[in-house]
Amino acid sequence: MATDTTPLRDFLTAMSEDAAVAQSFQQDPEGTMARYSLDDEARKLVRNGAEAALAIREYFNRERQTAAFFLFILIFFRRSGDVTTTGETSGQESA
Amino acid sequence: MSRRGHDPGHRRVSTRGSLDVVGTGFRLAGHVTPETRSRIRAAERVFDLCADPVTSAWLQEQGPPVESLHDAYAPGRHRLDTYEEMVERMLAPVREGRRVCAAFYGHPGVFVHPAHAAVRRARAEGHAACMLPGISAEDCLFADLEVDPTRHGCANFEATDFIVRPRSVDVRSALVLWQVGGIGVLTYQRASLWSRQGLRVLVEVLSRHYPADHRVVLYEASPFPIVPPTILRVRLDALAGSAVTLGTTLYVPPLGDDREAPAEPPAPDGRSTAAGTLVVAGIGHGGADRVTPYALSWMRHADRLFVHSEDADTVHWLRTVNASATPVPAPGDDPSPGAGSSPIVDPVLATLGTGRTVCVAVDGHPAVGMPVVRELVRRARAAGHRAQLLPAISAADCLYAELGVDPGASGCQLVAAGQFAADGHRVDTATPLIVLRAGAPDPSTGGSMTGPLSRRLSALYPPAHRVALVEGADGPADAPRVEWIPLADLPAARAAPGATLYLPAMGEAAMDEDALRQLGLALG
Repeated sequence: MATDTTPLRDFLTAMSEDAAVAQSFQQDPEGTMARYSLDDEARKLVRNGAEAALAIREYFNRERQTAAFFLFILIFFRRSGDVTTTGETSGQESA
Repeated sequence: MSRRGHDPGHRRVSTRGSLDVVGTGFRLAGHVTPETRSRIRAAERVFDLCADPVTSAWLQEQGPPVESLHDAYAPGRHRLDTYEEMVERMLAPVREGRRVCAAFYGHPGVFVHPAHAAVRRARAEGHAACMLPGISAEDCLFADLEVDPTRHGCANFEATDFIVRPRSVDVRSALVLWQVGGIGVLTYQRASLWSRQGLRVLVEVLSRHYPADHRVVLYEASPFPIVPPTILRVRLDALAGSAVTLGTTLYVPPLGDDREAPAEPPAPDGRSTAAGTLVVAGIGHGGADRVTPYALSWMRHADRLFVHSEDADTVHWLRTVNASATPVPAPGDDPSPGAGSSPIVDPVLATLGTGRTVCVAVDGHPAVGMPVVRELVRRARAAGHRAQLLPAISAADCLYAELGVDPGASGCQLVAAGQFAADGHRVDTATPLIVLRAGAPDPSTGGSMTGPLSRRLSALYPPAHRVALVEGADGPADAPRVEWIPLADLPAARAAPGATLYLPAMGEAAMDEDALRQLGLALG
């Protein structure tokens, strides 16, 4: 059965818009999450703190962040249509 | 200021379809300004190119049917094909006479080629088209690192562009480089870092200007409210081995000025009787319609609101938001940083000392051109209080939208008129230049800064060089005011204190074939 992502979505949206919710979360994270009916999986994601970003994206089953940044890299090449890859260096080396 | 010259953005030239291009910022719906929200809701069709699924879900709830543009991306697909598909899909319903809104994350005019291309093409076809400013990654960087780009000037470039088109680097100014995780890579990849080799080349280039032990900052804005921004300080010679992703931005502080070092975590000295919370929130440019919901919620929610604004209407409006709203002296009226008594800092610190939550609302972006904010935050932290800055729509953001300028295309230099005219930042004329507060009073003469600015700029640009004076809209019913004039006419131009001066680049920096070779690229 598909995960109901609505509670986490509502919680994150409220946190992003409302200082009162953000302050409430700072003072009482578990109580605030309970008010938004987050299930155990969603609570675990939120508790991950700095590590949460990627996990949240996976939770919503969307892999688009990298694609969105693709917009950025294209800017340079828009003005450099005559630039090509030579393949002579490890330019494609990725970590 | 007259509207002659270049002001197509807000014209409704026909009864045919229209296109609004908007930005959703970096904090889910919390960065979506009221004007952006209203354009989304009023559209008959919305296109989505937001970065995160939560914002996309929010977009779906706004009413109009939403179509994602993410499927235009595909590994190995030619970049121009991707652009072309996006632009044509956005314009198809416009040509059918529909009101269309395209939502991009961040600022829709910053590093977003398809947004500019769609606006240009729509206008060329006779449709009304408009770009609204949004909160950019740069706005978040200035707020989170608490650096003022106008303090010593700030240049920013796309990292690959910076390497292959060498620029004159003024190490006394700050430098911001974007996409340092994707240097020299032409093809779309799924990895978080696209090229370690590109980082090595970047370090080599920067080492020509900065010492190996110069501390730089790797930064990535927070994508979700529960996730802190990524702020990693490393020596320049350790940069190539550091944790970098495609979303990482490199901030290089000015050389030899540790005062500009980004903010460190607070180190309370325990002098306060109770820890208060200070939030400095930007009102943005353009009135209440450009205040972000998150900033507004702090203004509303704070135990005490101080308002630091030149605009009487803004002060009046904020009194309706929070009954405690108290005006404090407008920018320029406060003593210089370090001075003893301050009509702004003292009352704020006194309130924080009672353990309360205090919001200070300031015009524009709180980190940009606001020395008093810097001083306030420093002294609040020294007294043991929590403090943070919230990003806002800056004057530069308005300029990008109103002139259709993308700082990602040719880089950009940002200076404040007063400092620029006085201390002579080095300017690279092959890179566009933005001068903030171009019409501010000249403290030495009482006249406008346009005079001293003109003298300084005339040594760098020819008299016929066309420059733009831009004043943001005061409210939703106003159009921004844009005037294109020859540089020679600048001293006689009428410019409000907050006007922004834009100087396009003279030509383009030449391509360096050695740099291209180092990156595994070649001119075809």
